[in-house]
Amino acid sequence: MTLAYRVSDVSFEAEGNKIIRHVSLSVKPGERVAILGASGAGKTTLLRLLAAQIKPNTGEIFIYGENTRDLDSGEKLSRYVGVINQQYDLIQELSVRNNVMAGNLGRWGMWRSMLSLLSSGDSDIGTRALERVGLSDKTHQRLSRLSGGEQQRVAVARLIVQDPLLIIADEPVASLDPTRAFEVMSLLHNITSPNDKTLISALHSYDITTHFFQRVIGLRRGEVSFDIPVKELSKDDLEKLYSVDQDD
Amino acid sequence: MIWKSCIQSIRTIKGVSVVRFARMLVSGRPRVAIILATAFLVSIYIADWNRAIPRSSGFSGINEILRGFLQPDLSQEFLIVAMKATWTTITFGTSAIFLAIVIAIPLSFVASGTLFRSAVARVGSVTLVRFFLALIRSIHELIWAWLLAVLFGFSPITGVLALAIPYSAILARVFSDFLNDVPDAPLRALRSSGASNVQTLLYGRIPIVYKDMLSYGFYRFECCLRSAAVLSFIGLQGIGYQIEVSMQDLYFGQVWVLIYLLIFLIVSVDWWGSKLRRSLAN
Amino acid sequence: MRYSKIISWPLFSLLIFCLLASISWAVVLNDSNLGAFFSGSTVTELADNFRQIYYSYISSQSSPAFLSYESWYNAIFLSFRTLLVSILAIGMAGLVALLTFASGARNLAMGGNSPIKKPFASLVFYLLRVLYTVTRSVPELIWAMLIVFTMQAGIVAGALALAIHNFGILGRLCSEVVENMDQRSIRSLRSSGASSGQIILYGVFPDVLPQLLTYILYRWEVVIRTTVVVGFIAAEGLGRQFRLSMSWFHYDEVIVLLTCYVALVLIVDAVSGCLRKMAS
Repeated sequence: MTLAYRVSDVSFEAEGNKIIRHVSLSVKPGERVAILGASGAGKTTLLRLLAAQIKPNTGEIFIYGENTRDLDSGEKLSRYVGVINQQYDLIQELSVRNNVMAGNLGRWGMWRSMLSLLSSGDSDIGTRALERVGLSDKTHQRLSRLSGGEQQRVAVARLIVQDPLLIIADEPVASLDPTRAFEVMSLLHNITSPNDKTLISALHSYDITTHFFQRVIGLRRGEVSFDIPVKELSKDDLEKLYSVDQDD
Repeated sequence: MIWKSCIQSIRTIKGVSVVRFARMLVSGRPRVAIILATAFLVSIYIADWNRAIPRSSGFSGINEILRGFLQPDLSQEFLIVAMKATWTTITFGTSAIFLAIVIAIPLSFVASGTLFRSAVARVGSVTLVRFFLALIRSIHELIWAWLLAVLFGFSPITGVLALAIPYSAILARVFSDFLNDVPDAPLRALRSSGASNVQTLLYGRIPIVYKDMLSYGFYRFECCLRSAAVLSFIGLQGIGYQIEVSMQDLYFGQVWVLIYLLIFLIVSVDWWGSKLRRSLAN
Repeated sequence: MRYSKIISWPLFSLLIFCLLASISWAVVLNDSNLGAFFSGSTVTELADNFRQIYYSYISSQSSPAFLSYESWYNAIFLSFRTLLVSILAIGMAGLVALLTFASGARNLAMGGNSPIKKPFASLVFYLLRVLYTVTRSVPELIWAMLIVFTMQAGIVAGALALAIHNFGILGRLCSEVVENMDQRSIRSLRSSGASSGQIILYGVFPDVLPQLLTYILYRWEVVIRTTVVVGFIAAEGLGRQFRLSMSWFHYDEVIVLLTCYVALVLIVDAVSGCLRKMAS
């Protein structure tokens, strides 16, 4: 079985700082992995490396057997990886529907993309996605008028339309209150779990980690501190992860 | 491949429902865009395009212009003339904008209505002053120049006044808008500690808006220099005058040098302005 | 950077500016022969001028122009033509600016998102920037002179001169809007698989187009004022008639034209303000 991810001895540095040091791990298709760590530990960088948005300085990353160095963003990559961030994923000026349909951009040509901006297309993949996230009543509203939680649900709907094999989430619920966070996280869970899609997410909430994920990786100063099933996660591990070192 | 995308396109077009289009017409922004686009198309239709052809001497004219572009006149005697013209333009423009700012500031106080307590005096003075400002700034500086020249004759001071009058009206209007747009909250505190209207103005509004005023004033400085260059067309010295002189003699090499100098001048002031804006933003 | 401790850049600029202004005023006043200006002779000259103007109405016309329907009708017709030129000009400028601003934005051109293919993106960017700078630094009148030299004067010549200048202004404004945009939305569109063209369509246009609309309306107010003056040279509309009436000293006609001009400008200001409110 091809591994969803094979990360082999990857390092990344920027502006003289070593952000990721010699990280190796592998992820099987359908796994749900949480990445925990303090700010500055390198979570975002690791996720961007996994999403092939940046390339490692040393080492290789393989997505379903393909080297990320050969995958430049575009149609092919978008079939493998879908990304959802904490905020600013979407176009504030466009309608909810147009934002959702943007998930198709990897498949469409220019002409089709232009036409889609004008069409109101009933009963297609966009409307179904909006139904799944519970936002059908806001289909034609301008995105800027939605609340933070609603906007994140639109981002999830876009991922439904894009239909990638893996979803990389960088603190997707960090700016939401606990109820909304749970809602959005459930949505992400529901679109990945049943379809055997992989979900890798950076988080800072212990509750969400234990509730939705099977495996947790701790990142500390660019290195993997621990890589264990969620059941074995202890508060001690967390303390060590988030503690401030004397020689920092 | 093309066939498939055609079918897809047709299916999508069918989805462009009439309701959606009608919704577009009702909401503000697309409606404005449609109005403007229609006006533009109408204007294209009405314009007489058969006159849009080069004149009989046109091609040789283009030739001359290109030749001048490739062989600019960098002779010392001409450069001296060009520099003098540039300096004249600078002096006109700077004097004018300086005067305009000096006049505009007090004028903007009155026009913004922030000086008067009683509502009657405020509304009355504001509408009156704004109306006059609108009239003054609706007249282009060249026409002011012509009017002043007819009355006072040609001299540098008429040129400067011709620029200063409309520009002071523009600045006064914009400054008064700035003053008016100051949010109420910080001013309430001042007023409750007993400040009079004038004091609120000085201590409250001006510290908030002076950066915007500086920034806009600099932008107008740049515009004023451009206007000063053009002002010289009606007979006052400057870059525009020299361009006209050189053009009449078909010395396009000289014309391009003057244009380069003007561009350099404008770009320098623009650069100065952006540096200023950036340092103000910090 | 050390200087900023001693004296801040804004203050420094202000000082330099005041210095420049003082020198300029000194030069202007010196050249203006103010002695004569402020002496009694100015007043008498002024009176003479007024008398001359007054007489040239009465002595040259049996009925002054501002009382005849025909001259008003003519002036209004010319005002329409002037309006036409301004719409044509701002439309052309807006259209070409719309087509080029995406290639003229630094973050798109350097970040690999330009609509132009890789090797040429930076080159086109620099070319466009230079083009914007040159066209907006040269005043419309000078463009008009160059154009009238090569092309027949008329509506199109005048509109073209105005369009060239305003194209530079609009193009640069739009490029700046793109450069100040939040890059994250663009990046996230990329991760959905969008190509550069699609990124511009879905990510850049929705932000820039409303701004462009507002800028076009603002510039229209400026353009209508300058159209009359360009008409001097491009021999069109109110401007042309102005020049003719001026050269024949028919100051009564000039009054008619001036009134129509001011009315036209005020109307355009009002319409532009109204449309701007609709668009926000």
